[in-house]
Amino acid sequence: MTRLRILVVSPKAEEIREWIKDKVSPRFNTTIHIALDGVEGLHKVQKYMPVFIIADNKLPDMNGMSFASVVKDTVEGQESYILIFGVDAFLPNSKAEIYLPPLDDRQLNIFLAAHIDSFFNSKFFSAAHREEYESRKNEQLKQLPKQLDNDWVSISTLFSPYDELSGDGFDYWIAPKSSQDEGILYGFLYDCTGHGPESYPFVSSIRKLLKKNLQLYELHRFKSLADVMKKSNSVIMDSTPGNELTPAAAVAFYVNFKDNMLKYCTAGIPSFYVKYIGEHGYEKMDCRNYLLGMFPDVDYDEKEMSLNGVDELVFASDGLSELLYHNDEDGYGEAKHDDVSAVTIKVKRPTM
Amino acid sequence: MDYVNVIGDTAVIHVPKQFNLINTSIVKSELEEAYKQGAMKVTVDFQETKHIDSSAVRDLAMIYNRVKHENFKVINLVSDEVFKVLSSAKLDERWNLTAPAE
Repeated sequence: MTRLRILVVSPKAEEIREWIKDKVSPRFNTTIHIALDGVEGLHKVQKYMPVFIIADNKLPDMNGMSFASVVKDTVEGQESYILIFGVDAFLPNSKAEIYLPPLDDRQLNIFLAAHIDSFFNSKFFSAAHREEYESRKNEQLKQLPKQLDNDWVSISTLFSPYDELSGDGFDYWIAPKSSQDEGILYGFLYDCTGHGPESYPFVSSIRKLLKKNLQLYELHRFKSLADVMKKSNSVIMDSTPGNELTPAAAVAFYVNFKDNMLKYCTAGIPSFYVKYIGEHGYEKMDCRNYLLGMFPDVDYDEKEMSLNGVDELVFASDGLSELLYHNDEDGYGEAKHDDVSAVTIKVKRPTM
Repeated sequence: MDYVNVIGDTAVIHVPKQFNLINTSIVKSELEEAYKQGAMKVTVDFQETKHIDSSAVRDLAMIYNRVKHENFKVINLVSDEVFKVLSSAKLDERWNLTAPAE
C-alpha cells in the first residue's frame, strides 16, 4: 500500500489533525505530522517530504505564504501540494496551490475535508491510471478545433481548464466550398457541471451529442437550432437516471457570412458578446433558455441578428464572464474558480 | 450550521453574499445534514445575496429536482443581478420569481 504523509503547520495543528484523520483515504497508508510553527514545519518538510501540506497563514514566527515560498524552493518540498488558510492579504511569490480566506473552525473543517478528499481521489486516480488520465487530457486537447483564418472569418479560441480536465468544450467548422452552404460557419460551446476525471465521460458525451445534432442541422435534418437543443435535451433526459442528472449549459451558432446573419440558440449560457466596428468595448447580449438536462419536454428559442457593423462575436462559458465582470469584493482568493473557454469570431468580409 | 437551518420539515438555505464554487460545497454539506434531520422541503433565502455563478445555479437546480416543485421555494430575491442569472436559465418561470423592485 502506498505510504503518504500529510503535514499540518499551525498553532492548532493537533486540533486540525483530529478533524482530518478520518477523512484521509483508506486506500493509502497515511501519516499526519504536525508542526506548531514555521521553523518546525520546515524541519519536518525536509525530514518527511509530505505530499500535502496544510499551513496556517498566521504562524507565530512567520507568514504562512512565506513558509510556502521557502518550502517550494527546497528539494524535499518542491513537489508538495500546499494549502494555506486564513489568508486576508496576498503576498507575491507565495507559490502555494490553494489559498483559503479566514474561516471559522466549522467552515475550515468542511473545506479541508473536501480538499483532502479531492486530492486523494486525484492522486489515487493518477497513480492507478496515470496513462489513461494523460490520454484523456491529450484527447481533450486534440478535440479542440484549429484556429481558422480565411477570406470571411478569423477564429481564435481560449481553453483554460480550472484543473487539468475541463468541463467546457467547443467545436466549429465551415461548410465545404463545394456545398450549397459555402460561407457558413457552424459551431457550439458547452459548459458542464464539474471538471476532472469523474466528469469526463459526461463531458465527452455532451460534446458528441451536440456535434452530431449540429451536423444533422447542417444536413437540413433539423429545421432550426432550437430543434438541435430540444433533441439534445431529450436524449440527455432519456438516457440519464434521474439521480445522476447534472445540468449543462450550451450555445449553438450558425454564421452566414454571405447573408451577414447570425443565428444562435442558447441553453443556459447567460450571454455572449458583440464588438462593433469602430467601437472598443464589447456589448453583452443577454440570453435566456433552459439548461440541458434539467427539465424534460421543454422548448428552446432560436434567435437571429444581423452582422451589419459587427466586428467580432465572442461565445464563452461564464467562467470567462466571471473574470470580466465579477468584482471579488470578498477576496475568495482564487485567480479563477471555474473552467474558462471562449470562441472569438472576427468577421472579415465587409458587412457595411 | 452556517448557511442552512432546519425549521420543522423545512431546510432554509441562507444564501451568502457571493454564492459560487467556493461555498456551494459547504451549503451542500449542510443541506445533507438537514435532510438527515428530517427536512423534506427547501426554502432558498436570497436576502443577502448579490452574486451567484453558474455552478451555484446548477446546484440549486439539482436541489429543486431532488425535493420536487411543491417542496421548493425562493424568498427575498432582492438583487437584480441574481434575478438575471436565474432568469437566463428560465428558472424565474419555474420558481415563480419576479424581478426585484427598482
